[in-house]
Amino acid sequence: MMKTITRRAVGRAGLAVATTSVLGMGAAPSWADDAAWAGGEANAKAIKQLYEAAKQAKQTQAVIYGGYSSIYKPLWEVFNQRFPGLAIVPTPLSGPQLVSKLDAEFASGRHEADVLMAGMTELLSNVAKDHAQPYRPPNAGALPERYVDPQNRFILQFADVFGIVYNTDKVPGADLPKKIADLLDAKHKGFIMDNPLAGGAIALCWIELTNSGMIDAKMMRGLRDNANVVPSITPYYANLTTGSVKMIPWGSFSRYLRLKEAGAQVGFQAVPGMVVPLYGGTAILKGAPNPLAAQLFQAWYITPEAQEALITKGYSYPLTPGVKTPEAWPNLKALVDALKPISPADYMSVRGKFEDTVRAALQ
Amino acid sequence: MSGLTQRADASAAGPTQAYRSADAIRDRWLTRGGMGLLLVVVAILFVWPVSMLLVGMFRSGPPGMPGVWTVETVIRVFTEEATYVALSNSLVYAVLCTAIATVLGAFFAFLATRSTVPLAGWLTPAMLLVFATPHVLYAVSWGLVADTGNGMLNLAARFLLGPQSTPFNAYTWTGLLTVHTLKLTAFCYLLLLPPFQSMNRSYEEASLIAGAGRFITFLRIDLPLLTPAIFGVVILGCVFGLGAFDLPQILGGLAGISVISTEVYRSLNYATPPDYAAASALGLFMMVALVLLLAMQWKLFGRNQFVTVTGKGYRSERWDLGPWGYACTFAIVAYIVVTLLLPGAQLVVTSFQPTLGVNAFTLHNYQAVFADPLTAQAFRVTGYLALLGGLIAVLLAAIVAYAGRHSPRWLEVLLDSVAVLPIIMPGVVLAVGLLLAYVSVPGLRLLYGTFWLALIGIVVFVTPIASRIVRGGIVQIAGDLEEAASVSGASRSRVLFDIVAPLLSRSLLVGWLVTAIIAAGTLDFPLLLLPPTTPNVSVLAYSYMNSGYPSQASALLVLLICAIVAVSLLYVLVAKAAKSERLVRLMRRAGSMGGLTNMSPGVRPQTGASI
Repeated sequence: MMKTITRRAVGRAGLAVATTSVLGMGAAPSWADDAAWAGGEANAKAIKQLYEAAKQAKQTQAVIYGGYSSIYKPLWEVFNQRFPGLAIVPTPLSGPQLVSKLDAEFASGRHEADVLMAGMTELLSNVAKDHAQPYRPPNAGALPERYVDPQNRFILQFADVFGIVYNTDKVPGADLPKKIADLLDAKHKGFIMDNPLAGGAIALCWIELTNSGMIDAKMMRGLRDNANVVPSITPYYANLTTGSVKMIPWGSFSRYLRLKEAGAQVGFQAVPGMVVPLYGGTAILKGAPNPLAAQLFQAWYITPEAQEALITKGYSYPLTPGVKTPEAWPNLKALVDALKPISPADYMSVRGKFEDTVRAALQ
Repeated sequence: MSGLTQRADASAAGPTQAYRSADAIRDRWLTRGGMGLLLVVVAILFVWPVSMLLVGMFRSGPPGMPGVWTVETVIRVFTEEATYVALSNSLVYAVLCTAIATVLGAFFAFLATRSTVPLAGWLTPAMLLVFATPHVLYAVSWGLVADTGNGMLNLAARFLLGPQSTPFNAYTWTGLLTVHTLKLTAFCYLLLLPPFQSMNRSYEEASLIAGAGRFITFLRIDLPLLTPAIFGVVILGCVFGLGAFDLPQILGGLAGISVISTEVYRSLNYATPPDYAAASALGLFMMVALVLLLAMQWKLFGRNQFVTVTGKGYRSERWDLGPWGYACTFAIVAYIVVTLLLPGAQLVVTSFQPTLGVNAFTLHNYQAVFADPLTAQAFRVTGYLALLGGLIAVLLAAIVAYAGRHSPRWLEVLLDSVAVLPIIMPGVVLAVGLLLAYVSVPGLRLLYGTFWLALIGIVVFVTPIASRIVRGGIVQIAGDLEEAASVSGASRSRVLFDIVAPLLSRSLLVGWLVTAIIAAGTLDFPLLLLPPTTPNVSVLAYSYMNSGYPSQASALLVLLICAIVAVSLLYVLVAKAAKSERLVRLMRRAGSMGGLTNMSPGVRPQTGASI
């Protein structure tokens, strides 16, 4: 059930996205006239109340920390159109800068951030530090319960899929790996991956694959020996475009879509059991200077309007059921079902075990 | 200062003696008070954040956060094999690149300031453009220019040598060393311009009259006189080389090259929470290198041994190199093509591409940048940060250097060391140290989330560079110029502002320009310290990069480079217009002071701007 995305498929996807855009996102007035944008009358009313409360409190912005806050920048225009007078302020902090800045704000009591938007590790790490202010949006029921922290400290709202991104001129479709073990073949030598201990894409993907029994210590060593291990994958998407890098086995689907849209000769292959969906979400931070605006934002992000915009403007998977992704996109549910689930409560301990395994295997 | 005052007092006589004594006492107190204040300021700015990080090496928690004392991290870092592999790579990288870049920088600075070689006037604008290009963009541009897939150099090689030919690859040791050397040459050149401009031709003439050839004169007269300035450049080049990150990460990453800075990156990114203790421990290598280099500088270059600017005849006519001039012109053209035009063209092309490496063209990147409501504000913030930060840093460096010059040797060494101390820490680590230091103090905490903390960060970051530039200039000024003015009755402030400041103005202006350009392109401090609602250009560009739109980041940074060049050109025009007027004014002032009356109208002290 492997799914290779070709130029034609992407064309169809683009058409689907464009259609969605015209029928849905691009036509704000049609949303404005009814409550469909919020997923129903009750949600629309509750969210409108949050908006009014934020306005009354003169909270004109919500400051979001985290790398995703700038990735999803085009979505914030949609938010601003929906809620005039309220702006989202993205701050593209990640890694050590994000940790240090939040630690400094909590140590000093001088808070700037309202919301943290990040992947599972950063969300859970801040929850463990008691940085998150519990809040359950009025429309949280729209999401499956597994995406909402039982103590309402964070909500998962989006996902990206990590699979084989390759240069279509350099790697014929027939030569693509069909399973993880194929990456050990000499013909794939030199594929790009970051260090599994770096906390980057490989680490996050391998946590899921190790937990699902798809990859073991021996395989890790083999992959490392056949790969070109770099400090970070991000700069090398450009080399994938030029052809000096042929393949990134755990590359971002979202990046692939952007490259494809720009005309790059790239393809994406989703091999079940190898491809990994990674989740991201939001947490309202304690001491947030604009707590009502933050609550409004978190509620809006679950709405069909925001979740549609995640597809059309954020090139990411929404998690609210009923929001359809383009047919050319790999089916998220099938990819999720191929892996053993890790509950948020267990995630950090699973990650700890994974790091021990990697250290033993690679060092 | 007190010595000068005493000499001035000794020359005084008669009924004014009592007033002079009172002045001397007041001056002494002012001097001591000023020195005390200066020590407090430099301690808060430079020593405090760095010492927090150094102490943090022995703490289990992040700097300023709860934790226990431990030596485990230091032992782990210093016993890991990877540390020493990275260290040896860094040493080769830093020393080799600095050596070549210093020679090239000195060569081109000589051509630009001391020769009549055709096209030498192109050098300074070209070097400014190369220097102003952010490291990350320079690395990405070179990666694309010498890409083994469809890089323009390899496409040209295949056209000439056949379809299988791929002679260029930026992602190798050779590529990394070459690109870093080319970029560093611009830095060395800009730092060496003022000392070359201050060279006194009369020394050369004496050598030539004594029978030495031009080459021997250059080696035995010019070069020794320039050694303090050159050594200052070597110090900065080596320490920068040890701390360089963007080029080794992007170009060295594919070649599997690890250096100290990539190990620092590993410490911060491979651990949750970031391992600042390990990052600080790795910074110790830079501290050791810096201490050794500074010790050599103090040992080798004492006070007043390298004076080139005196009150006596001072000339700086240019050399006519004859037929060699054409070879030098060829070298200038070759350097500009390789260092500026190739990556510059790639950068401009990239800014018009839909994404990196896709050969199609669009105006969308510029449209998106201009449509972004944050763009105009980001340029304003960048301008304020760069110009103010550079100005404060260069003035602070000048005060530190001047106060050191008139202090006991131990205090001079102390001040000089403290002013360069922040350079031992990688930018991101220093930014975190500064952030945590300031938010831990109730009063200073109020600065968090304001423009002013980011400005302080920039000042701390660029002052070491300003310090080397200013020190290179100040050691060339003869102390007897100040003494003569002082003995003639000029007040301390008049000596400072009428004698020292004009003579040092070229170094100050170059220092301001260089530090402002560095401040305009730096990311770590603005990203951590600026309020989220007021990003500068580098934060905005980082945001574009992070969003998956590197071509928009390129467009924004091309605009930034254009702005820097525009400001630099404005500076050249203003400086040239002001130059003659200042000279006349200085001559008048000099004529009114007894100690400088031997300066004839044809004698030109170090003054005015050159860039």
